[in-house]
Amino acid sequence: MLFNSYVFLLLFLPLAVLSFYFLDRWSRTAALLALAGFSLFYYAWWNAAYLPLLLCSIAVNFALGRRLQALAAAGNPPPARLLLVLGIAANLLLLAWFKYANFFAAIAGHPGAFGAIVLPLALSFYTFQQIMYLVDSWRGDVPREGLLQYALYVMFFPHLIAGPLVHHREMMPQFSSRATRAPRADDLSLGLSLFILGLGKKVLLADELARYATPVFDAAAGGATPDFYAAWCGALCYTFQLYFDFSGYSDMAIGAARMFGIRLPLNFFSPYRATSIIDFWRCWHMTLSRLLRNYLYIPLGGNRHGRARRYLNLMLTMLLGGLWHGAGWTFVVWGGLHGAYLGVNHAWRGLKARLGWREHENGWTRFGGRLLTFLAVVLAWVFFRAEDLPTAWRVLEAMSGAHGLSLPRSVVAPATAAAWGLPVSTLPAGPLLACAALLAFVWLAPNTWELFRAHEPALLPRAFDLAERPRPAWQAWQPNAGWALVVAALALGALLGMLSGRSEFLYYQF
Amino acid sequence: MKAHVRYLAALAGFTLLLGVAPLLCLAVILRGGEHERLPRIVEELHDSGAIFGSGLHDVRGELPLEIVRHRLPEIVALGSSRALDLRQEFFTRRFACACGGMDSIDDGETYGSAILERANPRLVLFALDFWWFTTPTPHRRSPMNLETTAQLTRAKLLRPLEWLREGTMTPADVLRLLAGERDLFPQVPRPKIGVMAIKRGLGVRADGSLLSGVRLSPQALPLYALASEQVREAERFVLTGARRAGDHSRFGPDNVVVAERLAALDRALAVLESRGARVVLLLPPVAPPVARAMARSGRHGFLADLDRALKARGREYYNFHDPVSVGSDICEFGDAFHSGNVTYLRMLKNIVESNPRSHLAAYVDPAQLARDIGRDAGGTLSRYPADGAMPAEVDYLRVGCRKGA
Repeated sequence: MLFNSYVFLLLFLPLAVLSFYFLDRWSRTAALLALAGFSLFYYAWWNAAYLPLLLCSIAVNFALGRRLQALAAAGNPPPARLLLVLGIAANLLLLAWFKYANFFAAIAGHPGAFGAIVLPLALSFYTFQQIMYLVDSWRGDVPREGLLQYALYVMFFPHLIAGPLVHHREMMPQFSSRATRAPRADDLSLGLSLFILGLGKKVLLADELARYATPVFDAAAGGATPDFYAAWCGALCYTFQLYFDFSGYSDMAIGAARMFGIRLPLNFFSPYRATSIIDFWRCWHMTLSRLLRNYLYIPLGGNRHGRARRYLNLMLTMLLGGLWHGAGWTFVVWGGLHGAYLGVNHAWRGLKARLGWREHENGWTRFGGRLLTFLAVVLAWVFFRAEDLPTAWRVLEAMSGAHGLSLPRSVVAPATAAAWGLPVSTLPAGPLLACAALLAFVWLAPNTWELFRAHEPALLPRAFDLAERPRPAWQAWQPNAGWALVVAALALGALLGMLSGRSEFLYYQF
Repeated sequence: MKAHVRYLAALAGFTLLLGVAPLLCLAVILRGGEHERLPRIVEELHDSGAIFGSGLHDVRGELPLEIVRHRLPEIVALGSSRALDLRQEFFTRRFACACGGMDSIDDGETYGSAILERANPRLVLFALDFWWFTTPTPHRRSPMNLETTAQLTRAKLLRPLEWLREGTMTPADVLRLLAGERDLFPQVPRPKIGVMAIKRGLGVRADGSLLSGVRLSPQALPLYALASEQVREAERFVLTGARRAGDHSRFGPDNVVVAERLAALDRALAVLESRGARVVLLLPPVAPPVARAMARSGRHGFLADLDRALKARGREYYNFHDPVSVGSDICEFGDAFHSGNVTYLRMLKNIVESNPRSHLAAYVDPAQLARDIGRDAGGTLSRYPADGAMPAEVDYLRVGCRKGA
């Protein structure tokens, strides 16, 4: 069941919210049980056969966590570390089997050795959330809550399928049966508005952009080399498609959770506004960045063992981050590229600090940094989107102009283009203009947090120092008639847009 | 907190208010029968003699197949929209027109298989468009899928607003439709399903043939402006292939017959004959002024090449490219390359008279054909008691036809 399906919007979500509100007046535990039931139903809608796997994973990890907590309270005797390692290994093995078995078999020269393995929906997300729980149980740093709260931490339907990657410390207390804060009208109005905003991003922007990005990458996957203009159009359209798709999904998840009075962590903070790759990773998929930083980069040593080790740790973290997204060399290269970007960025910062150049930063240098960061990100997305490495190379070659330049269709007459010696592209100028407008939009317009910040729409991951800028009052959402009209128009536009076929969220595949 | 309650109420109110137009559109679509499933529509065509003309869905591929499945015909006509004027009344055995679904000869194999999956006809009248054989690259319709074609999309949902803007429908039409009236075109006295049938009398009959009832009304004049221009400027049309300014289409001169397309015909024939059906090949006519212009131009030699190639297939084959050969004139044409019912009557009569051993002979009554031609000559529509009292056709091509006079 997709967030952008009529059955979810018109049946499942209203029913779940109404049941929760009704039961919560009577018993918090009953309301939470209903929420767990709805979450299981939501998951089973995709494929009920994988429900036992989810339930077993939750039960085993909860029991393991309890045992680790007990051992932590006793000063972590030697079996504790062994138990932790076994627990993490079991989780990773499960993930490795479903997600990476055939990838590693192919590397070993036996492609498809394990047949067609279906990746259970959300496995990457709930595996990593539970590993966080095990690690913190071993550290003795988990809230003392019961199985119901733990189960909801893992499988609460708004974040179950594609995140945000929530942390037990921020989630389990909110599901506590001792919590006295019942959901209220402001939760509903805020949650609904956030949800509709996300739905609009997905249906009206991401799905429209996909119409231009997908044919370019599909054709390249089929062996065709796109022309210069089409390649750039495809890459840029995908850049914005992915952003509006995933940030739209995150807004919908945050909004849906908020309707139940639950606050999820923020996942995006205008990443294409970043002036460096370091900034970009503070603002893109923030909950994954947090996980990678706290549970991989820092345990690997972080920046505590000299510069060379820091760059190595960065590269390893990003390579594994790439592999987390999918079992394929394109994801490894994408992760490696970002690892390299981050290394260069840190080196540049170090150099600037030594030379005292930080004082010379101004609007122009920030603009240059923003543009450079954006271009670097676009190039990396080509690998992220491509079916395989040859496809990515074909698109990148075309983008480099190695096969010559081309003009958008319908901009000049074919005869004029021929006189200039420039072939006419398969794509019109519209998509590029749309991308330029969207770039201006994401640079200038307030993001979800800025729009709703007065109402604390989400939890802000503490590790991030976000560069907020002051906004005029009209750019802030208020529960008034004007915003109701805007949100209603967006809702209707999205509902109509959904008629033209609904597509899965891109992050469902991870 | 009250502000949030008021906000939620306003949000619900505005959504409903803004949703009025799409909801009205939906009501028009539902009231027009546009969203009924094809099997249900085909049943209705058979049960009530209704015509179905959708203003939303392109069911050219799927509707004929559903008709074939429902009718289980002994004789089937296969071809593009140019064969849509072949009617059940022309034949003595059960007939279905599986026409309009093919856009190219490359569709023949798929479409032939699809027909045989649904019925086992004994005779196939295969109407071939000459431009199918001059296309260098294969061209196929998208896969046929009865479920997805009729899916309501945003563009389709909002189409009634376009109809209002273009004047296809008036606000009064919309109100009448919403009030449950399904006949805004009384010149065709039949039940109607779909907005094009309801408003313009344009729709498919139970046998799969097309009733262009719109030709009975002055409404036809603006609709046929392009067709009348094509016919008046036959020379230009033939030499440029342009159906309108700037359009360079497949009707152009200097083409050549492509061997791959003939191979596609052979594959289609193999499929159609795989269960014992006989196939009769036809080359349907273009309007007489167009045929004359093509003959004069000296740049349409490929027609003779095609004629030779089709004769060489070893099947029963008839070339009606120039309709003068069957005594038809421009008044019996819908536009530059779509003949009407009467021209097809003439073609069938010509076949059985010129070749009494034709496979078709067992399926038609030449005397009846002659009577029908005598009754309806000079127009496109052939009229039978089941059609009810229809007025005379208008001179929609503006070439001075005195139809029904």
